[in-house]
Amino acid sequence: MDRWQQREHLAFSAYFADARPNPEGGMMAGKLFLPGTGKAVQPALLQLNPAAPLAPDDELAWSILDGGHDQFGRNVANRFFGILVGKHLVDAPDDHRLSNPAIHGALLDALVREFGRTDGDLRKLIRTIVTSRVYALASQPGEGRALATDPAARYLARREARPLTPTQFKRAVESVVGDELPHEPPPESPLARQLYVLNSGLIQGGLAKPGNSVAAIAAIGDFVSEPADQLRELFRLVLSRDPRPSEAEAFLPTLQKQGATGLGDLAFALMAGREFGSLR
Amino acid sequence: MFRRRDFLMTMSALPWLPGLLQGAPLLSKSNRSLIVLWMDGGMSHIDTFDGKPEARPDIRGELVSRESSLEGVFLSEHLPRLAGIMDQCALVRSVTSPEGNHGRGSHYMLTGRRPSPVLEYPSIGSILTPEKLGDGNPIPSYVAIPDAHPYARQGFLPLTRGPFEVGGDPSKGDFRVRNMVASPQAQRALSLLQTVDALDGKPRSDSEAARDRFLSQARFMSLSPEARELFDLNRETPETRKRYGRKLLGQSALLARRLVEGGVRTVLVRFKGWDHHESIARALTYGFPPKLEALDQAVTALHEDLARRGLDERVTVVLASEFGRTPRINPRGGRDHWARASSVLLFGGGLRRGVVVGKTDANGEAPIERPVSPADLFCTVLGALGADLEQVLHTPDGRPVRTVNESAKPIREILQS
Repeated sequence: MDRWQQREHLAFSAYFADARPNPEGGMMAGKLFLPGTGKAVQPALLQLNPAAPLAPDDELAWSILDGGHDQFGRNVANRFFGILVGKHLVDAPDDHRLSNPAIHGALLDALVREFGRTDGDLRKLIRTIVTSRVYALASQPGEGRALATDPAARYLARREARPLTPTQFKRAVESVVGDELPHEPPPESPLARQLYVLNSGLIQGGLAKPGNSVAAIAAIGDFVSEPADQLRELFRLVLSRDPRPSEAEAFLPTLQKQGATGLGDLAFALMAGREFGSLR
Repeated sequence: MFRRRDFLMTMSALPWLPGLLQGAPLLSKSNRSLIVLWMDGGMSHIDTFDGKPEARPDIRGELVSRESSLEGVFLSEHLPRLAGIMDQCALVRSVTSPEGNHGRGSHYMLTGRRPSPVLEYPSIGSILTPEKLGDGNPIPSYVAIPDAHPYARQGFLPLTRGPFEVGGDPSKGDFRVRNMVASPQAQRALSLLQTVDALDGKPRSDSEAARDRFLSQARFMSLSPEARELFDLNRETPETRKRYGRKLLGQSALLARRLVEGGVRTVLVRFKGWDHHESIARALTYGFPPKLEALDQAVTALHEDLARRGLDERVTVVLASEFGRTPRINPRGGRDHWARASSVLLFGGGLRRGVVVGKTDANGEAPIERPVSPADLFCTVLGALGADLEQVLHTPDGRPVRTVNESAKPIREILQS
């Protein structure tokens, strides 16, 4: 990308910029303005080919997809590799300048070729990555694993349980309560997140709404007499796994004694727990 | 069920609590606190602390500069109170940086390091936050008002060293730290939550261990009236609140003072809205209140208040921004990003008074005396706080990283010997 000048970057950015408010009222006529003259910048494609004419918005999409260059493919391959493996090949993912090369250029090139070969099929790109040997390697360090004997793999043994991002956490909560939370995402700072979980009332409020997912599990009790079934369904809903024997032993008395209220409290406790809030 | 009374009985057995309840500082005098007043967006140096009254109109702008109580230092006429206390502050007029982008410039100023694609550096507040908080430490060591800049976070350090964001505007009548009042449902489910965690076993990572400590803190803050009082500006007299200014910056500065007085080590006040690409004179001097007036009132009130309470040697205050703004007014009456020159104001603990460091040229374009990098400045602030500049931090995979940039040098002229 180093080949283009600031003026050309501005023109390309003008496709994506929002119009700005005019201090004198209303909106400004342009979206971006040249620093030197203050004139409005006309949107224009980056010149991939000197002969390529300026194109309107719809030609932008065709230009991206025509396969004549690989910047779009590089971006997509890099981003999906980062999402799936946890580390981008080009990092920061937006910085594709020549001065910021990929940490494994040959791998990125191969992914880009695969993406182009399949006409930009994202599912096939994802399949390529998740069926690779690299993706199948365990990331958890520890004894008894094959990592120590595989010099290439030991660098992947860096698994760390991390807190969910605000967006991930919000969606995880929504998937449990079966309802949308307010638009504002949960706080990112960990202490503020804990206060949010404990005291915002949003999780409990979602669990109290008629017809929420946990209430649906409680309704199983109308047809199935075993609280163990409710407990299993609750764990599957919240943690995507069955309860361990120790958990069943600890929580079944609560369900037997408190019924739907106990189920709601346990759902809240599981969502406030470490496992729900972490990426493992 | 975990009752508030049980909780307080448990907590009162801990050695730090009496100090907190009496409002006494938890830190020794050698452990100074830091307040960072962060002017987010890029504060114009020419229109604030580095006025150029002799320059051409398209350089000096519409705002008039006047000489302050520090000879040869010209401040905007809209900062009259600050001009009066400049002889009690230290001013660095020659901060110069290669980073003219908001994110990169902020990163350099707040972490003392230029951005790197391979390492997320910790901010100054996180560096000053102790490694070990101790289980159940009641108040956060690092607080951001109302929120933390993305580069004011813990970087590669553990989450325990990240900022706590109060998440609201302290000037609002209904301001309270978000979610600080315990909900009845949460109290009912706490024993179940403890069982969930116990059955989950030991924390598997630093972030999970941190989460357990934050849960303890959250419980304390939810259930302790004393912890809530720390964040309660209604405990201040109306006169004090008025003296700081009733809007965001003033009340945030007042809250910062309350927090450092109560033992918080670092407070970052993020005051947005300094990215004046258009109509800068109007943007700085109109509004409710005008930006410069709010700045003038809040900073001088903080300066006076710290001195009145005997905190001026225990608290260091830094007023900074990611960069300055272009000397020449642009066609839209604004100033654009300009990293070659900016000004930083400092006062309080560990710092000499009435010192001005560096000088920019006649147009405020670049330093002509004593250029100072953001790394030097970072190093200086840590020095004023008595921090160990040779300390080595470690990334999660064991990589050693010095606290300050290897090439950084503290500005000796403004540090107390």
